[in-house]
Amino acid sequence: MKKRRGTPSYNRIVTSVFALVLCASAAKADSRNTNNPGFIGEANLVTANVVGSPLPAKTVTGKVVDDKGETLIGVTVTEQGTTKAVATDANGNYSISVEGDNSVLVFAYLGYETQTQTVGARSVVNVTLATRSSALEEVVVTALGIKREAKKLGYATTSVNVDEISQNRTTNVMSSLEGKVAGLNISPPAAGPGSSTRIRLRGQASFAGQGATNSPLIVINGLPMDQGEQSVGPNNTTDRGDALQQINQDDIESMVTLKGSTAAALYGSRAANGAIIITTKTGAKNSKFGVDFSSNYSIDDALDYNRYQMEYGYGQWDPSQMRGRKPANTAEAIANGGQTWGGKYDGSQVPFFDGSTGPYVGNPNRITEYYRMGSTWVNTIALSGGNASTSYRVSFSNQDANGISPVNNYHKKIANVGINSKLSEKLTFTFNLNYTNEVNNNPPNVGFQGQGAPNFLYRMSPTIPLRLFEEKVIDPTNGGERQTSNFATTLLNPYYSNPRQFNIRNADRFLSTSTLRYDFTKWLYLQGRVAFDFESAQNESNVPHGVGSVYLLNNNGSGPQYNGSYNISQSRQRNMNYDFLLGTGNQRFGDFSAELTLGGNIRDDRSSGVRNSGQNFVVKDLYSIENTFTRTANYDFSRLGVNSIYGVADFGYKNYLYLSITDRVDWFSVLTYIPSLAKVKKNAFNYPSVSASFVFSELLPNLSWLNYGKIRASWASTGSSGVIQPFQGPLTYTLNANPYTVGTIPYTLAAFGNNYPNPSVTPFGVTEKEIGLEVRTLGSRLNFDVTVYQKDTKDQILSVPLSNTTGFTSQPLNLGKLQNKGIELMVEGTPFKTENFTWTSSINSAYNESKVLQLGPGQTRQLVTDFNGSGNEFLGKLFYQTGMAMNQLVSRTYQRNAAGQVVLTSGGNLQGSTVDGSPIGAIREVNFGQADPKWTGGWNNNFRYKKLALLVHFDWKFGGKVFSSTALNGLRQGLTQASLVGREGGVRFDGVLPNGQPNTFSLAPQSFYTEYRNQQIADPFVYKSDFIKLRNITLSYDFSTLVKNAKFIKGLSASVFVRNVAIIKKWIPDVDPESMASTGDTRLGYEQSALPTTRTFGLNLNVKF
Amino acid sequence: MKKISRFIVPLAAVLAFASCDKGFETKNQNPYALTSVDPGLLFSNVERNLSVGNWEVEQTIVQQFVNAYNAGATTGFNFNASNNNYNTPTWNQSYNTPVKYLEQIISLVKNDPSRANLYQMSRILRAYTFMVLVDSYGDVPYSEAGKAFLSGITTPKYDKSADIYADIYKELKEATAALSPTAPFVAGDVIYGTGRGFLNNTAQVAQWKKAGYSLLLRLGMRYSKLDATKAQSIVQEAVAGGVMTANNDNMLLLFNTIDANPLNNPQRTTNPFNYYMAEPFVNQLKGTGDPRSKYLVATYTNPAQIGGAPVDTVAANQFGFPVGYDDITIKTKPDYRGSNPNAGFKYSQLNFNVFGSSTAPVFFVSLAQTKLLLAEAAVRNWIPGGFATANTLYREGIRASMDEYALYPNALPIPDLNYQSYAAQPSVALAPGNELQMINTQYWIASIGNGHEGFANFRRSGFPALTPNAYNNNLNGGFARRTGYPQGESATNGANYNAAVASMGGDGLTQRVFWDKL
Repeated sequence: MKKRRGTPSYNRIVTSVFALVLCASAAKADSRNTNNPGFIGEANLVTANVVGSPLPAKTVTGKVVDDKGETLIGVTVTEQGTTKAVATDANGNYSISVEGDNSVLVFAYLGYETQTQTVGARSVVNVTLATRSSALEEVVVTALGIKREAKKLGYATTSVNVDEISQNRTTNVMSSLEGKVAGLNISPPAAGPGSSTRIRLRGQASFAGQGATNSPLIVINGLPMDQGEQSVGPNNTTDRGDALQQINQDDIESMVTLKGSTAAALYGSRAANGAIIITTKTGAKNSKFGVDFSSNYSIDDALDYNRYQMEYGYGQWDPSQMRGRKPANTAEAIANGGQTWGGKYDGSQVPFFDGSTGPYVGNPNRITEYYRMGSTWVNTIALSGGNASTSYRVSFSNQDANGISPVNNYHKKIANVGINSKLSEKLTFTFNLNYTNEVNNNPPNVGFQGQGAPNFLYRMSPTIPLRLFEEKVIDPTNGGERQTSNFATTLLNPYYSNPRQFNIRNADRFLSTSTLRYDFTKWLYLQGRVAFDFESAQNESNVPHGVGSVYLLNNNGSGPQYNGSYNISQSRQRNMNYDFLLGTGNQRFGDFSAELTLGGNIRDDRSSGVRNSGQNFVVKDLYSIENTFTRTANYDFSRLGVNSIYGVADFGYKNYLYLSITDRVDWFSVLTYIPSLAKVKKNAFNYPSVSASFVFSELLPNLSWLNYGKIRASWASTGSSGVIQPFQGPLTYTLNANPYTVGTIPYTLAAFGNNYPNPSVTPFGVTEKEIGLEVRTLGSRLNFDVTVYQKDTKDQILSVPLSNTTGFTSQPLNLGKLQNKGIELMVEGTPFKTENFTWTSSINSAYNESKVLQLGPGQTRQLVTDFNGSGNEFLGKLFYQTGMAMNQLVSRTYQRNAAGQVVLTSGGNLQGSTVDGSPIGAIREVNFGQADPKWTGGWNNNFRYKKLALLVHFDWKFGGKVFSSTALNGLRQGLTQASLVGREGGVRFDGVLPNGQPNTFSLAPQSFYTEYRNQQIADPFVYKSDFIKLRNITLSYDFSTLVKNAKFIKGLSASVFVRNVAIIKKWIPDVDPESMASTGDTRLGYEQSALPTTRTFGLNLNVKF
Repeated sequence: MKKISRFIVPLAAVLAFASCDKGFETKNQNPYALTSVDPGLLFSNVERNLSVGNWEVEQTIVQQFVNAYNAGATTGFNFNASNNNYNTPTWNQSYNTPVKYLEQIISLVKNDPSRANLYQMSRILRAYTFMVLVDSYGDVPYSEAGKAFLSGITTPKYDKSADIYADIYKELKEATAALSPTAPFVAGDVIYGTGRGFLNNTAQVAQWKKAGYSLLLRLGMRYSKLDATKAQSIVQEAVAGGVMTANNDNMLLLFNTIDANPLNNPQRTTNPFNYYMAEPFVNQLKGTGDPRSKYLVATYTNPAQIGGAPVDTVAANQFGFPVGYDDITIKTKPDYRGSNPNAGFKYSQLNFNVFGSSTAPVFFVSLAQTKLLLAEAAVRNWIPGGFATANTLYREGIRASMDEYALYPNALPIPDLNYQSYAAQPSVALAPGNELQMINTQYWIASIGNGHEGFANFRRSGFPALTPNAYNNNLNGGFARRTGYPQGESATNGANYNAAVASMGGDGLTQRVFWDKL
C-alpha cells in the first residue's frame, strides 16, 4: 500500500463535519489537540486513502436488453473491485472505461438478475438480463437512506409499486396506498381535495393529545419530517392537508415502508411509528435528453348512501291525535324544518319556511343535487438527461381540482429538481429540491354541527325542496340568512355562506437535500448532508355577516355592529437537519463480512407565526381587520433542537447469516431545563436495536421448489419526544389581546394556562420485537412473507385531567403503558402465466391487537374525547381503559333488570343505566367496542395480456365500531327508517316499568327518541365500521410499439381507472363506513357530517419524447 | 480493521462523554414569554371573571326565566334535571380564574407592604367566591384549592361548608378591617378603581370597606335559619363597620361593546326564541305595575331576531311562559297563547335592549340588596328601629333597585312619581305581619341579574312564595336546593368527591347546603 498525498480540502470537510456534529466542546477540544493519536487528523486521513497502481485503460461499450429484447434504461454497470460505475442511457447503451482485459463488469438492475461479464479482448459487451427469480440481490433503501441487500434485513419492509401510485392517482399520494401494504393502515378522511390521511403502522403507539404524532416518520430524500396532518378537530372544521401533499407521484423513484420501529431504529426518538422513505428521481447517467409528459384527468362523483324514510313528511307529532301532522302555517313550518314528525306524504299543499307552499312529498336525492361533479387535472412534464458523470431531472406539475363542494377548489404546483453528479472520481454530489405551492379555496367544513353543508343536508327535513333553500336563502327583512328551522344557529343554510364565506390557505414549501459523498477508498466513504424544510403559509377566513339569522346585528345598546368575523394568519417554519455518515462498505474476511457506519445529526426546528382576527364590523360585508370592533393578535414561537450520534455494525457469515446492531443517542432541547426547575436532569436517551437474518434456502440448494427462504428477527428500543412541547418548564403568563375597558380606562388582564407545567416529563419509550419468514417457491410463482410483532410503549405521557379545583385542568405525566401486537401476512402468486397472458395476485392482511396496560395510579379510565360534551356533537365518549384495546367507545346503555329486560321510567320513558345500588343514581357507562379496526387488508390482481394490463383491487377493514351521529339525529329528527316505529299511535317500547309490569305507555316518538340523546343511550347507534370494498379498477395499455417509428416519441401509454368502485359489504346505514371527517386520534369512532365519499373515474396519458 | 478502530475509539469516547446539549438550556426558553407579571394584572382578571351564574340555572330555579326547549343538552333546571352542562360553569369559572389567580396573587403580595391593599382585596374576593361556591354546591375544596402550582396539591380535599363559612367570616372581617387608606392605590382594580371614578387610595379603600361589610351583612343573614343569634351578631358587626349607602357603592362590573355582558351573552346570541321570562315573575311585575317591567320584559315581532328589533314593553302585552311545560307540552295547556308566526311562542322574553343587553352591568353586591337585608334585620329586631326603620329601608331598597337602571343602555331613569305610586299600592307597601314575604319578594326582583344571590336568598327566606315546578317528580315536589357537582370531579378527585357526597347525603339537586335548614 502506498501513501497518497492528502488533499487539504478533504480534511476540511472531515473536520468541519465533525466539528458540526460531534457536539461542540468535546469535538473541538479534540481537534485542537493534534497530539491525540486517535483523532482523524491529516496523517490518518492520508493513510486511509489508498488505491492500487493504474493499469492501461480501455473503453467498453454495449447495450443492455431484457429477455424480451426491450432496452433497459438506467442499468448500473460497474467495474468490479473499483468504484467506477455508469448507467445505461435511454437506448440501453453504456460506455465505461475499464482498467484492462481482466476487468469484470457487473450489470445490476432492480428486478433483474445481476450479471457479471469478464471483458477479455472485447470492446463491445452486449448483455441480456434475466428477470429476477429470487430476492437474493434485491436492494432496498433503509433508514438514513442506507441501501441494503434485502436478504440481510432482519426486519419487515415493503417497497411500494410506484407505477400503481401514479396510475391510480389521488390528490394525496397516501390515499392510493389504502389496502396495498400489509400493516399499513390508511384512512383518507372525507374532507375534500388537499386533505390529510391517517397513516398508522402497527397500530397506535401512543395515546392521543399532547401533540403526539402516531404517524410514521416521513423521510424525503433523507429529510426527516413529521406527517404534520392538520386535520379536522373542535377548533378547526376544515382539513388543511399534510406533508405528503408535497409529493408528486411522477417524481417518486422509490417508496419504502419501514413498518416497525426495529426497521426505523436508526431514527431513534422519531422511530416509534416506523417510517416511510421516499426517494425522488435524479435522472439516469449516460442518457440522452428526454422529455416525459403525463396528464391525468379524473372526475369525482358524490356517492349517496342515504336511505332516509320517504313516507312521512316534516311537521310535528301531535299527542292529541297520536299521529304526526304537517305544519299548518309558516311558523310551524319554521319550527319543524328540522323535524320530520309530520303526517304521511299525500302530495297536498304544505307551507314552507319562506311563506310559499308546495306539495307534501319527499325529496330523496338531496346529496346528489347539492354536490357537483368534482374534477382533477394534473399535468407533469419532466426533463431529464445525463452524461457520464452527471444526471439530472427537472419536473413541473400542475394540479387543479374542483371539489364536489360547489365552492371548493384546490391548486397545487410542484417543481422538483434532482441532480446527481460525480464531481471527481471520488466525490459525488446529489441535490434534490422540491417546491410546492398549494392553494386551497374553501375546503369543506365537516365533522361538526354548525358550519358545513353535510350537517345541513343530512338533518333538514327532506320534505323541503333543496331549490327553496337556494332561492329563498335571504331574509328580506334584514338581508341575513332566513331562518329555516328551530336549530337556527346550528343548522346553517350552505346557500347563504357559499357565496359569502371564504377560507383560503396558500402555502409554499421547499424541501431540499444536498449531499456530498467522498469515497476515500472502495471501502471507506464519508457523506455530509444538509437538509432543509421551509414552509410559509397564509390562512385567511371569515364568518360572514348574517349567518344563522340571529347573528344579524350585535345589539349592544350603542348602535349596530355587523356580526361576523375575519381571520388572517401567517406562519413560517424552518427545519434544518445536518448529518454525516462515515461508512466502510462491506468488507469480507474469509467467510465473514462486516460493515460499519457511524453518523451524527443536528436537528434544528423553528417556527413562528402571527395570527390576527377581528369580530363585529363597522361597515357591513367588508372583511378586513381595520373594519372590526374587536381585534386580537397573537405571535406564536417555537424552537427545538435534537443532537444525535449513531452507529451501525453489520456482520455476515457466508451468504446466509447476517446480524446488524445499531445504536443512537439523542439529546433533546425540550428536556433541557434551567437546572432549578427539573427534579431529574436527563435530556439524553439511548436507542439501540439488533436484527438478524438467516437465508436458510442457501443451505438447501437441492430443494428445487424452494427458491428463497429467510427467517428474520429483530428487537429495538426507540421512542418519541414529539409529545413534549418546547418551553414546558416554567410558569408563563399571557395577557389578553383587547384590554377590558371600564369607563374610559383600559385594563390589561394577565393569566396563565390551564396545563400544570411538569418539567420532569420524559419521552416515552417503545420496545418492539418481531420475527418474520419469507419464502419464495415454485419458481417464485408463489411467495409468502409473514411477520409477527409485539410493540410495547412505556412512560406514555398522559395529559392527566386535574380537578378544576386545583386551578388547572390537566397535567402531563409519564404514566401510561400500552401494547400492540399482531401479524402481517403477504401472499403473492402468479396463478396463470403464458407467453401473452399473466395473472399475478397478491393478498396482504394484517391483524393488530392493542391493549392499554397502565394509566395513572389508581386510574382505570382516561377520557380522550367527550363527544357529547363539545356542544357540537351528540353522543358518547372515547376512552382509554386498562386491560382493554385502545380507543374504547363508551356511553350509557339501557337500564336493565336481572332478567335482562329494559327497565323504563314509571311513565314508560327511557332511562340511562345507573350504577347498581348507587344512592345518587350515579351514571353507569359501558364499553361498546374499539374504535379502530383490528383487521386490515387488500387483494390486488394484475392481469396482463400482451401490452394490456388490468388491475383489480379490493380492500377491507374489520373489527372496529363507530357511533353514528347520523343515526341518532336521524332517529330523533324523524329521518331514518328506524324512526318509522311508533308513528301511528306512539312508541310503546318493549320493556318493563319499575314495578316489573310490562310497559303500557305509548309516548310521542319525537320526545321518546330525543331521550336517547338526553340519556346518552347509545345501543341503537353503534355499528360495525367494517367494510369490504372494490377499491380500484385500472386498465392500461402500452402503445409504445405502435409509435415505434415515430421520430420523436419514444414511448406512449394510457390508462383508465375507477376508484371506490363499490362497497361490497357494510354494516352502517345511510353513510359510508369510512365517512370519518377527521384523521385525528381523538375523533376515532365518531361519524358525523362527513363529506360524501366520491367515486373517481380517471384517465392517464404518458408520453416519452 | 485496525485502521477503522482508530476512528471508532475516539468516536465512542465522544459518544460517551461529549456534552451534546450545548445551548439547549437557552433554546428551551421562550424569548417571547412572560415569566413574571404585576399581580395587579392578575387581580383585574379575577374581578373581570367573577362568576355571574346562568339564566338557565339560578333564575330558572327561582322562576324568573325558562328555556322551553327540551332537547337533551338544554334539559336542566327547567325540567328539574341535574344536567352537567349547567352544574359545571360556576365551578369551573370560579376555580379556574378567581380562585387560581387569587392564590397566586396572595402568595406574591402577602408580605409586601406596598401591596397591602391588593392583599386585603384579594382576601375579600376569595371570601366572596367561596361564598358563591358553598351556596351553589355545599362542601367544596377550600383550604387546598387552587394551590397546585404553589403547593403541588393535585387532589384538594373538600372542606365542610360550615367550616368554610366560618373561615370566610374571619377572612372578611380581618381583611375589611385591615384595608388601609395609607397603603398604595391598587391600579388594577376594575371594580372600585379609576374606571369607576375612584381615583385614589382613600376613595378606593372606602368603597372596599363598604363592600366588605355589606358582604359580611349578607353572610350574617345566611345564618338566619340555622343560628339566629350568630346571624344577629354578624349583622351588627357589619352595620357597625359601615355598609353601602349609595348606588355608587355597588360592587359591579361594567360592560361594553367589546367586553360583552357574560350573563346575557348565551341567550342573546344563540337561538333566543327558546328563552322566555317565567310566568310567576312576569305576573309579579304586571300585577304591581312595576316600572322596572319595561326594562326587563318584552315581546318581539320575531323572537328569533332580538338584536336591534323593535320591542313591545306594554305591560298588558306581557305573558310569562308557564313553569313546568316544554315546547311540546305547552300546546296542551288550555290557555296556551300559541306560536309566534315567525318563530317560537307568543310569550315574553328578556328585554334585550336594556336588561338583556350585551352592555348591561352585572351586580355582585348592591345597595338595594343591602337595604332590603337591613330591612329584614330591622323586622327581626337585630338592628334597632322596628317597623318604621324596616319600612324606610324597604322603600330605600326598592328605590335603589329602580335607580340601578341609570347604568343600563336604552333606559331612562324611573321618575319619582312612578316609584311613589308603585311603592304606595297595597300589594307593595310594607304590611305588618307580612314583612318577610314582601321584603324578600323585592329582593327577588332586585336580584334578577345576580342569580347566585337571588337563588340563595330564596332558599334562606322561603320567599317569594312560588309553586314548585311540576314538570316531573324528580325533586319530590320541591325546589332544587343546590347545583350538582361537575361529573369530572368523580374521575379527577374521586376519593375526596366521594367523601363529600357521603357527607352531604348525596349529589342530587335536593340536598341542602348547611345554612338551608329544613
